[in-house]
Amino acid sequence: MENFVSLLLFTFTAQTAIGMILSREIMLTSGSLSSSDEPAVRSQYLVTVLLLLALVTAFLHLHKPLHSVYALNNIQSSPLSQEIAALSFLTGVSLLTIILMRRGTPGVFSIRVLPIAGVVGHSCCFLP
Amino acid sequence: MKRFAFYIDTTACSGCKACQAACKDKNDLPPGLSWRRVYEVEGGTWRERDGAVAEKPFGYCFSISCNHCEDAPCIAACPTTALHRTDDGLVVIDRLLCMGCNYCEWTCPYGALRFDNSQGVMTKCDMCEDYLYEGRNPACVDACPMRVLEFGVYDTLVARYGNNAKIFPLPGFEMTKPGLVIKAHPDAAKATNDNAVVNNTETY
Repeated sequence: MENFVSLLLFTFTAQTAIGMILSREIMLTSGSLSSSDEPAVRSQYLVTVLLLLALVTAFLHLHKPLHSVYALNNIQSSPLSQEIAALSFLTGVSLLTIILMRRGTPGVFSIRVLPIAGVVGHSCCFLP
Repeated sequence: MKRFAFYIDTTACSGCKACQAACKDKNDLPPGLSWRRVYEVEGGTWRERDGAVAEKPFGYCFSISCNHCEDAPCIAACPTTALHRTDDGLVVIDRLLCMGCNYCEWTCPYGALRFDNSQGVMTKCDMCEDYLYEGRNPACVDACPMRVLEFGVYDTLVARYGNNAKIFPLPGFEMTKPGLVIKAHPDAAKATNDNAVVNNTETY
């Protein structure tokens, strides 16, 4: 039972990050927020930290965390494998977004690529 | 591929737990971890007639472990492929791959997967694979004093006893196609979620 706490933390951090991405996308689409605005840029850092925290807490609930290198072995049929792949993909894109932002790549592309990454990653969960 | 299965005659099982003890002994399982369990199902109804209460109690026991299902949900769920099927059709765990996520435990409708806290990995019945190579029966089968447990090829057991694998509180056969053939106790047909309980769900 003790490991369920880390699962709860994982759910909280991952869903908060996804919620932030979706909320920001709605604000960007409606025009109430610009991708170059300071809140949009700051939220990107927060989203990335939350996603990294989610990954760390996901590892904490495992009894053999070092064996998680095999976690994608059954990506064809295991929903857990697919979930791990989806979250890792989204976290990777989120990190890449920060790198692109710091290098001065136009913000619209770098921030809006996240919802697309989220949809692509999570659609993997429903692969036949 | 040959498919092995257990047969249990629930009309004669006395619930002595010799199978459970033999399994623990053979596999050197620590306290609290049992790959084979004996369920005692009890229930009944009563009604009042002419100032007296007429009771209709019933009860039966049966022994259950991993059924090495044809559509094993644990294999599909395992992210690391630690759970896999051998060439003999057995569902086994590679402990070097298991990361202890417990995901398989949640998917098994028979509660066959048992987590070993001391080692941090999932464990389960392997039908005494080493005994099979020696041409012997699994330890639980040979330990049964009532001879209600039997082991063999699934098709042979079905041809001999029929396939009556529905018994409370187990799920329907069609869910995972378990390697399990059951001779159902006459009272099993009366048992439902409303009038029967499994009394000893604890493990030893």
